[in-house]
Amino acid sequence: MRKSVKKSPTKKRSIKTDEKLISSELSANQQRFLQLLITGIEDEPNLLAGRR
Amino acid sequence: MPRERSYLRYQLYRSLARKQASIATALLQLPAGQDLSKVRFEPIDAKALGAFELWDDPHFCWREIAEWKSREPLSLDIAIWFEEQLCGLCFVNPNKSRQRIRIVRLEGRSGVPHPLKKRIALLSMVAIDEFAQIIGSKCIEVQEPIPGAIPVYTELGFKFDFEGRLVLAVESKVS
Repeated sequence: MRKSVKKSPTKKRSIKTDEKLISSELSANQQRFLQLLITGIEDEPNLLAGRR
Repeated sequence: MPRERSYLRYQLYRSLARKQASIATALLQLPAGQDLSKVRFEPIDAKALGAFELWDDPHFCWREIAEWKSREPLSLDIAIWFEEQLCGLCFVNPNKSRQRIRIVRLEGRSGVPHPLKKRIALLSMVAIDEFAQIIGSKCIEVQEPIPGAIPVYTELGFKFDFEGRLVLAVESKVS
């Protein structure tokens, strides 16, 4: 007789679920950053912050 | 007896912030020919420092970061990759209360053109903002903005506060 395989009671979260979670939970700042990412920011210097 | 303070969870927070930034960036729909799904947010590790050696005339010596990371256990370090090209490096550190996160260093690759040109500040901010939310910070501050980069920060939403600090309020997530 074959042994029945029991599934783990804890449901593992898939990558797709993670993606859904993230796409639906963005702050207003993050939404703005992502919108700006489409075109980028012109004239961005290489050096952006730090003690010269 | 007071609970012993453990910074181990900050390793998790850093990893989570980088991962969430990767996913949010990869999901972005870009015009044909552009693909941000190849962007990776990684720690500044030996591989990143090895790739950094290939940069022409960088401004900072990022090798120092290894020491900073051990000295500042709450900090977040980000190496921004496009496939196998290291395009940007960033180091941020919250203050003791964690209410304020300071961008200590941020630099994009100098010399040769790279695929993430015009996007280094933006990509860094996606990860920094995520980290700020995870640890409960209220504000992100550019500690020493380069004057030529101030228009970039302004476009990102930063403003000078009454004390002359370039800051951005951290907002909570909306569904």
